[in-house]
Amino acid sequence: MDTFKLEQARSWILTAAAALEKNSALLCDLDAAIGDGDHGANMARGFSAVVKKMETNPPADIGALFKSVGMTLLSTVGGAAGPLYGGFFLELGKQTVGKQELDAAMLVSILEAGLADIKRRGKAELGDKTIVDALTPAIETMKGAGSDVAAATRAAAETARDAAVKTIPLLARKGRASYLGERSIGHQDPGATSTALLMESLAEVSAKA
Amino acid sequence: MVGLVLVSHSKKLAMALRELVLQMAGPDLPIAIAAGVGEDFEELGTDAVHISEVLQPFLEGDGAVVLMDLGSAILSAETALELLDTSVVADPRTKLRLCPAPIVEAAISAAVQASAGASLDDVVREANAALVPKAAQLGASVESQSAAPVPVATPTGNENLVEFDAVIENPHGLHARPAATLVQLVNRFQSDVQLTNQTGHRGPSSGRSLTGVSLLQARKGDSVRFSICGADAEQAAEHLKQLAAMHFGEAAESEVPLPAAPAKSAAAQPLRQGALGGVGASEGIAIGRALALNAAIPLADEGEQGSPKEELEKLSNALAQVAKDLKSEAAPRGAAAEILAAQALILSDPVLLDAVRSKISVQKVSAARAWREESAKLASSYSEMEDEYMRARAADVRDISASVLRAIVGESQIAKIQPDPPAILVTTELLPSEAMACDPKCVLGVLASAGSATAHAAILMRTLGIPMVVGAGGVNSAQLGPETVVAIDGASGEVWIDPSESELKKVRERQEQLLSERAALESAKRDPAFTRDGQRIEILANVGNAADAVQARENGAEGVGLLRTEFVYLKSKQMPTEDEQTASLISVLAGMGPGPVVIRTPDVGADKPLSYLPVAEEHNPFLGVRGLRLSFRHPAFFLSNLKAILRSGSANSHDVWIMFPMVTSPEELQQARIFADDAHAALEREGKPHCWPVKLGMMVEVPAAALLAERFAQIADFFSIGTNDLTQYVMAAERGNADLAPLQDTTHPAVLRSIQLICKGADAVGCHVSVCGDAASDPVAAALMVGAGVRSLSVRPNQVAAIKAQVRRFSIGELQTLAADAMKMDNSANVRKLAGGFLQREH
Repeated sequence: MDTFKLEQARSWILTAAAALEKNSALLCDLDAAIGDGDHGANMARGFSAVVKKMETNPPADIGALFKSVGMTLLSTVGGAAGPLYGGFFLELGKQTVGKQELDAAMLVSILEAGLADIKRRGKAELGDKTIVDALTPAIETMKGAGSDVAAATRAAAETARDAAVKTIPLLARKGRASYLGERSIGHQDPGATSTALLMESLAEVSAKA
Repeated sequence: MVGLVLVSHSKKLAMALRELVLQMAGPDLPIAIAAGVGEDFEELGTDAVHISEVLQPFLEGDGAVVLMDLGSAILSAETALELLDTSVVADPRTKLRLCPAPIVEAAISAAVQASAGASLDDVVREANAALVPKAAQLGASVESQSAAPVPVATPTGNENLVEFDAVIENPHGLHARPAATLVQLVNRFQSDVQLTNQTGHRGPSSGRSLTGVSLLQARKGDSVRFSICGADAEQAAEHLKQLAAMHFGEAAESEVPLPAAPAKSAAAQPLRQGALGGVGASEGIAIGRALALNAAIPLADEGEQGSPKEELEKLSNALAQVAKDLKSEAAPRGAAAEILAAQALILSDPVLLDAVRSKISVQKVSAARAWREESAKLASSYSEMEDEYMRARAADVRDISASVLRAIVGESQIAKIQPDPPAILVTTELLPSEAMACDPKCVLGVLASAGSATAHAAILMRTLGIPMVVGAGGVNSAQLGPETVVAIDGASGEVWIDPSESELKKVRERQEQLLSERAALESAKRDPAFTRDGQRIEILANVGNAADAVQARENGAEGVGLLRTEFVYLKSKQMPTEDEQTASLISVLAGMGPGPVVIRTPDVGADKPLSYLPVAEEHNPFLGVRGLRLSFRHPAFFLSNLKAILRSGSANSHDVWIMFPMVTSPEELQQARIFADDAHAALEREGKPHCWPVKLGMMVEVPAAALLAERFAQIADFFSIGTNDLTQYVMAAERGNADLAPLQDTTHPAVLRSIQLICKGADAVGCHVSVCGDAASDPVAAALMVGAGVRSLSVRPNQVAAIKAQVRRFSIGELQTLAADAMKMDNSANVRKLAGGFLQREH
């Protein structure tokens, strides 16, 4: 598969919504260990609002789709993930205004722009035990994985999943978990985990094309 | 005006904070909330889109300070800035400042600054410094470069400088609310105002900054210097003095003042170098035999220990018993009531009770021992605190602990302490329950080796008038035999054990002098006030609640010139019934002494709306349906007010006068009289006891009524001049508008002439005239009004003695000349200058 189409973008979001719903309890448990225990519920609530919005108001292009996802997440997630993922999708939307399809290189470049937005907004760097720790290596993997979208996203999803697990020994430096200091060590970061779920959903829908 | 936006995870938190802020800053402050997420924003979280919608309108005005709680609130607020429609302002950050200060402290500081009209930069600076006073109070430091309140300006030297000193009389010092009132006033003037706490050696601080004022830590009794520099310095000084005299807006609600602790450095000469010294805790001199206090109160025997279950039951019975005893203390009021309330809290303290209960059930000790050990721990943790006031609370814990112990072992309360023959009690520390048990007839004084002048026991001794010295470490009651003579001076803290003849003689002289001074003060307080040429001026008091009533009586007021009944109506959410109104009024009347009580029917309207009497929104509520005008529109309610007043007067056969507010035209008063007749007739029919006939009079506050005073005097039994409204209406200057301050002064010649006109109209037919407005409590205005013909003043309860003293200084002739001269002036500033000079001269 060479391109990623509007229909797949829609499926990505629907699949992600289902995955987040399914894993809501897991994410909440991870968050309860080092945060306030609401990440799963927040993400599920945000993405279910996104799905509703897409049903009532189907977007005409990929840019409009991502923008709508971003705005909806901003106003419905509630926690810090709201502005972070919301800003991420808004940035994706900006990069894809009017587009009906993307090739693998463009997909990498818009994800990079989205990552840059998250780092700017959250003032987080690699190793701070955040979303960034899953997203950064995933994008790196995608870059070196060639022009087949399905293969590239599959590789990225694997990397993201491993990277999320690798946040376990890290010391949290951002967000509520950072208040715990040393006690944040030994727990998997919920944000990196939800990113891994998003990447997994991306890989799934890309494979079906 | 700069606004405030509160961004929080919790809508409830933000709304509560808004309430707190508006209480400080007044209702005009633009304050918006962006809090919560989801349906109706009831869930915890933040919504960047919603925040941006809330922020958008602030781009067009003077901007806003945005305060956030934590985490996503910060991220969402930052994101919200990016979502704004920037067609209004290119860079939203010029108008909207995200402020890193703690949300509660910063909201209060910023709101006060904003409501005073400060610029966005100043509001932000004040918000950023919000943590400084708290840190100073707790002895911690705030490390932040931005954390500096509005800086103190350096005077250039050749500008107009006015200085004055004010002693802070607010019970809790210049705490947040009075400080906020002060900052708001300062910000209305251009002049720079610097404050220095001369007693506490703090400052100078800028009077424009709440933080600055808070950092002065001005407590009750501290002297604060106001240095005002700038073009409008004199005007600012005048207003600030007035504000200081009104206790920074706390005058009306101040509690019954506790008798002040005598100063530690007594003016009296020490009688003997090296005489045993303590701290004076209750003024007065006592000479007599020493008696150890614990000789009177035997220690309890704990009795047999039962099973843990039985012991737990003993404990809860004892707690219930003591709580009941505290409630039934023969209706104490003022100081005693507060002390008992504080002690009741200890009885239900969960930390203490959990510790005691676990000791009983786990360690299987007796209830008495568990209680004694744990309460002793709590007491000692209090006594280790830094703050002296908190340390003094240890005695409360020990006291309540002793009461509970007595209850556990089945003893009742302490009986009255009545040594016979009378004696000076010697103890380590006097406990409040012991203090309450002291009979002033037989307890000559108290000498304690420990304790504090701010402890509850000391306050009680001052109320009882029993001299007390505390902290006399060298005194040991075991060494004092039954024949030992002791003398104490409760002002200076001096103590003499077995004084020599010559010492005794000097102490006696000091005692006699003190007693005669007290008697003189007391009679000055009680006796009516006559001018030097023998004109009697009646001094009444304005009363708004039961505490005022007690204070008025104790300060020597000859009656109540204005009982505001709004307290009955404003506090309830639905219309109070006639019975409820009657009960409320009786509760206030109970505290009053003899003399007339002028009860005003509810003075409410669009400016003071009642939820159960909806009034249409008015463009100018002061000129709208208020006072009697509103009463006529709700005849059933009005009738119930009148019936309640008439019934309340019969309970203790008070001399009740009924007064109608906001009367404009004679037929209104006639109409109101008919209502009063109807109320009486209805009560007759219902067979309910009530007072009748009563005097029926009116407030004179509308210029029309002043102009028609001669006509009104024929149908009113009395007049009471409401100077606040009369001034506002005569001068066409709304009370709350600071821009018009010079026009809001009752000493303006136009207002003085109106008052003279009213008095002339009334005098022609012998109608009683009093003044119940604020101006009666202002020594300058009071003197001018007496000069204009007023012979009765109704003042704030705490001003009764001061105004009586003022009256006694002058003759009517002088005051008439003063008033006549004042009426020829062009403005109130000149009148005040003239009158101020007159009052300062020796007479």
